[in-house]
Amino acid sequence: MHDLNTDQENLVGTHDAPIRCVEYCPEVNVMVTGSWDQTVKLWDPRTPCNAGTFSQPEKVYTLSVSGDRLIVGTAGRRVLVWDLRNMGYVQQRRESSLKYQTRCIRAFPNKQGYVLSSIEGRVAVEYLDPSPEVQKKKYAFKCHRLKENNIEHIYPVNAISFHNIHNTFATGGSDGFVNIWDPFNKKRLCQFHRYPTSIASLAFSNDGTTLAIASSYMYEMDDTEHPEDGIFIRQVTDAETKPKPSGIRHRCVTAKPRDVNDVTAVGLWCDDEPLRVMATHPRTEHE
Amino acid sequence: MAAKKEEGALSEAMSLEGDEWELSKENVQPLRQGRSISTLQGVLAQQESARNTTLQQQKREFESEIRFYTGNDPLDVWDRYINWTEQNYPQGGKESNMSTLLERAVEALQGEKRYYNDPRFLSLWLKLGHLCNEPLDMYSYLHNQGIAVSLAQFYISWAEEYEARENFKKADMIFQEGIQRKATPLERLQSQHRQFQARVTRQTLLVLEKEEEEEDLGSSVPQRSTLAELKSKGKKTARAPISRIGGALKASNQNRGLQNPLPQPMQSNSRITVFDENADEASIAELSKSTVQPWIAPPVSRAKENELQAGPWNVGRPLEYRPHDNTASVTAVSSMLPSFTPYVEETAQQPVMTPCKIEPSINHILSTRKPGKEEGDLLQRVQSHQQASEEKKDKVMYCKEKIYAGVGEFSFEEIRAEVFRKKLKEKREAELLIIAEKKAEMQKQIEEMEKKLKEIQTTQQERAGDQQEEKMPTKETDELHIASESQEIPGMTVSNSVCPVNSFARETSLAENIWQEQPHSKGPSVPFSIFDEFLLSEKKNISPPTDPPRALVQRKPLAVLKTSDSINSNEDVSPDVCDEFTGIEPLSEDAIITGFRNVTICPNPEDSCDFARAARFVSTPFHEIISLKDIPSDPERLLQEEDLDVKTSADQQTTCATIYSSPLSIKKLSPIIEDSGEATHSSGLSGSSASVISTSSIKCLHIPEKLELTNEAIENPIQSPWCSQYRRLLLKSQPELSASAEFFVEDRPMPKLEIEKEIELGNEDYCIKQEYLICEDYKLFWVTPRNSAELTIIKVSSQTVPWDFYINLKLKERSDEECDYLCSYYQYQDGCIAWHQCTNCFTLQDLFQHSELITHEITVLIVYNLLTMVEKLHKAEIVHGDLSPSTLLFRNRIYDPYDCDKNNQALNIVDFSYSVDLRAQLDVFTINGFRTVQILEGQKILANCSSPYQVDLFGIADLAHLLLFKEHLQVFWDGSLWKLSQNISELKDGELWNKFFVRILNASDESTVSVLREIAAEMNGVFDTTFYSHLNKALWKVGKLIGPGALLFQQDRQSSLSQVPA
Repeated sequence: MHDLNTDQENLVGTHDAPIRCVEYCPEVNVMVTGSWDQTVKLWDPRTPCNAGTFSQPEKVYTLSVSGDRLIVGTAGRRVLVWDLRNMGYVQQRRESSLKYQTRCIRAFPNKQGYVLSSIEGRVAVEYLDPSPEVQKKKYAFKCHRLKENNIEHIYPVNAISFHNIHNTFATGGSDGFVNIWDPFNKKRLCQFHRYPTSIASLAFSNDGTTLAIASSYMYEMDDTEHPEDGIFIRQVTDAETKPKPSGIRHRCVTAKPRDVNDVTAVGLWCDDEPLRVMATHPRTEHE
Repeated sequence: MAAKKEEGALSEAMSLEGDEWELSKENVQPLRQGRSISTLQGVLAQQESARNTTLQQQKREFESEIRFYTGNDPLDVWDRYINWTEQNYPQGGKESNMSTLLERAVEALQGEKRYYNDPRFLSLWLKLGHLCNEPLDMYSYLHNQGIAVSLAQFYISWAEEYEARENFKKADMIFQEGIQRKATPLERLQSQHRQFQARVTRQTLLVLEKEEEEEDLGSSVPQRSTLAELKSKGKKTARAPISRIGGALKASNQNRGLQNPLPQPMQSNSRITVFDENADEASIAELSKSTVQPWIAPPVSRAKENELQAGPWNVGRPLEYRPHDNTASVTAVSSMLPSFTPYVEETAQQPVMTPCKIEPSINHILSTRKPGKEEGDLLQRVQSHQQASEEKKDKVMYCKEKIYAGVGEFSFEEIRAEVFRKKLKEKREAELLIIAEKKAEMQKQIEEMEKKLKEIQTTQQERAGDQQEEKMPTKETDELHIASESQEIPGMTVSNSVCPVNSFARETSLAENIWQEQPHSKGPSVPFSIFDEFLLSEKKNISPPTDPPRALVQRKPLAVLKTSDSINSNEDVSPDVCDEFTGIEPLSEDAIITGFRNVTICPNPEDSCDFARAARFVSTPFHEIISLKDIPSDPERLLQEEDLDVKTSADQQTTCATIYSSPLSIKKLSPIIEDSGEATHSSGLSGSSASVISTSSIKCLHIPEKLELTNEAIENPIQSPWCSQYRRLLLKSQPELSASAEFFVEDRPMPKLEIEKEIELGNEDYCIKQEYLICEDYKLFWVTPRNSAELTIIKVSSQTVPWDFYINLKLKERSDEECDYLCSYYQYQDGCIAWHQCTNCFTLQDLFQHSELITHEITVLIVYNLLTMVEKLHKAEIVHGDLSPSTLLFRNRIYDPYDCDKNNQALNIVDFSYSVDLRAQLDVFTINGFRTVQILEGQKILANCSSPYQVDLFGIADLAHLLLFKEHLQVFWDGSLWKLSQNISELKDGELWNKFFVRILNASDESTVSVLREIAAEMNGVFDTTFYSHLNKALWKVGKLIGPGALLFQQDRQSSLSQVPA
């Protein structure tokens, strides 16, 4: 643990195998580490000590904290949802809806679900609420695939980062592209130019105005010649990150005529902006 | 039967070892080749969790072996993996992952034609076949593919399969083909064939016999009778009744063969038979074994728990549970639905299972096996595997075969980690090899040197004789030359073996320079650059793209972050320097500074001028330093200059800053430098302490200055206790000193000390490895005895008075304690060498270089040591006077985290130059001669210092302060007490430190011994178990970075660097 104020480092504890991911949960004030030793450990940052070790069915590959819930992605395509306030049991045991290895899981800032990316060019949007009507909403889509000479190249999706305000998210793949997606309208908002090599990590700033992009070869094709690592800081605009109105989200408001002579007003809204108001006066037409 | 035999053997072993096996036989699948009893015991005995971890570990090893196998027999790995799985998962079941494992193995090896006739490969297939629903398909597939067609076992198993299905004709054909193809071993095939033929004839005979008897005997349904007697039946041969049904028959059949032919159930022909119960009874008495009759209906199952629950009739029932042979008739029945609907009463519910606790390890055995949906197409998948890869339209852009090579999956990171570990291991081995080679080489050199040395010695002795007559030492002999190979290079200013130690350096270089620098600074690792895409567009019109060959011209780096690897090659750069930006791109337009600077500032603590410059440079990033521009520099020399080790010239007190001006473009300084100003603070500090130590190649040590200093001291009318003349007198008055076993007077000038050369100390030869530390009036060298690689330290000083020895001796005399620390002193005409026996050769100074290692616990340990050590000194009426990081050598406690009893053995004092023996030197009136006092100069607290003893208290306080805050002691008088200017309360265990400082700073007239003891006792209270656990971790880290292991590495690097021609 590194204290930024005192610039001191503190060894809090160890895992038996390399640590794959670290998260911090502000709601419960606990640090979470996931390791290839098939455990997740919690650490109390105030009195640096181990606050619990929780074994997982497989090597932990990714972690995400959503409110007081912890979503753990392990090898063998398993996803486990824990409640950080009560780590006595696994709240949900799931299997990734994708066919291949889980690369990254990130929770929605609105805490309703998470996005999971796989090693073979797919991203799934899933919801935590187990009720069937909510589960029905979950979906997956293909991405980070490039067609070259009629052969589709499928790349791993390594990184996901959510935009805190708009709940949109960016994905980065080994193809070197960064895409920003609107999960509600199932649309791609934009794609940045290609970066020199695989996108290893992505992070939106808290206010969502900048996106840090780490471009670093991840040895996915073994030890071959590869471009240098680099971090790119990119300013992103609302146009790139804000969900666009999906076609026209019509909202019709009709004022019920009280009197036959009343004007019937029909308002047509598009995303809360009045588009046009059509006024008809049935009686007058008839008369 | 193999399992039976095994059982017998096992039970004997069992009686000795335990009864796990006896308790859980039902959980162990029989294996044809048997099981290793020890593994089985282990697996069954172990607890779930403990077993899991070891199994997982082993499994992981196999998995990674599969991925990184480089030999030419990949099948071997798979074979071992599969055998291991068989042995370690006696229950079989899902968690063993056997089917996936076999599938993967077969898939992986399918391309390898050379394995096609390997019995191991066949056994993989056979195991896979046992898991298939239709093993016959597998055999024909293998046959078509030409796999194992020359192996007898293949035909034997295939025929068995047919035999089990009553297709004797086919089975025979298979045997025939095998014999025709001369499958090896042919004899086995032939004997198996004969046995098969015998079985078949016997069976047909039996069938015929039975057909005759049938009417009389009736039939018995092949079923296992519950609660059957196990009493032996039959008169002549006692044999327990064996009745087997279904699949068990198939397995037992082939082994039994001739001896005990069991009639096969004739399942295929259904006839109506007439039962005669009376006859049946009679037959039981008559026959020693139960006869099996063909049956028409599925056996009435008595094991009711395995049956499906009764459900509504009119709903189509799944039929999978029924034996294959009967499906036709059953489907016919169930397809006719009754025309009425039965009504189910509400109360007629399914019985609710009473919850019972089942041990999880057995749980999966009891649970009903779900119909494996993939199992059926196991073979198909394997078969389609090859075709699939050919007709792929998409390409996966990662090494999928590696990720999914084994049963589990690996992530990129794991694969990379594995590769890294492997490389590291190889590197270690290579290093060790190199070291061994070097040793041999050195041994050669040593022999050569010896010859030369002898020559030199004879000439020197001659000369020494002359000098003694003259009594006026010439300058040459006065100078202690410690020369090295590098000395031979004239005007050595540039040397590759040394690298800049830019502790203050903010190398503000521009993009252009980064490109220039990179090929140079780029070590094996690639620097890491940060780009700001946003600024890029704005920037474009101001500064044109600079370096066309770069691929990333459009994106200019904000800064290049050197990875620690490339920095580490610079010898003693403290780790925090590594994180510094080495190049920063200009950003803002308003700060107009012409010319860019790349300033290398010498981290020489004595050169206050440099420090001031550095400070100014760092604090005013936008300010142009004009003064520095006075020094002309040649841009072409830039790269060389960077290599210049400023410390090469230790006596060089002039400017060490080199300024580079680039006429290329007008550049401004980035604001990033302001951000990184914070880091300067820490790095500057550690740098300043680091600069004292030089591990670079050897330079001249200019001692004459020192001698002049002592001469001045002599002229001083007031005799100070630190004056060498005075000390000499004192020593002369005690002639018994020279009688000590640890003291040797050599009547010759000090030998030349050169790296990689040998010197003789006493009767031992030592090879000088490295110059470790240069202090004002002494140097420390790492040396190794001739016949061992063990490093020890020698301290070389130009002092002709063996003062260290004197103090040590007195200390021993007065403290009445057995000294556990060996030290020998060699007095020469012009100097003194002290040899310290120590297994580790680092001082506290090194710890300061790794400031991240100084944890609370380490600080406590060191301070505690200081307290006990100084207490001992004071008891012996000795004042040390110079408690500084460079005089304190680490002892074993630092590297032995678990040696809790020896908390007072973490440090040792290496230098006593400033020490005063107050018993002998009663005339100490001034404390100004103490080094500690000189360091703390200007502090008001010193005015209060009443006795020389107190100086050491301040020394301890200063060291503790250094450890805690990384800066020297700062105190103030709050009216009643001396207090620290720093805020202690923020520290860990602030209360302890508060007490410590208050006590140690306000000792006034008390006896320092009692004060020290008191504080030490208080500190001792901190040592509890949690403290030790933290301490151990911290010490472990320390040991890794500056322990003997690190030393080896450093040493190696050192020598490899020095080999590069300057």
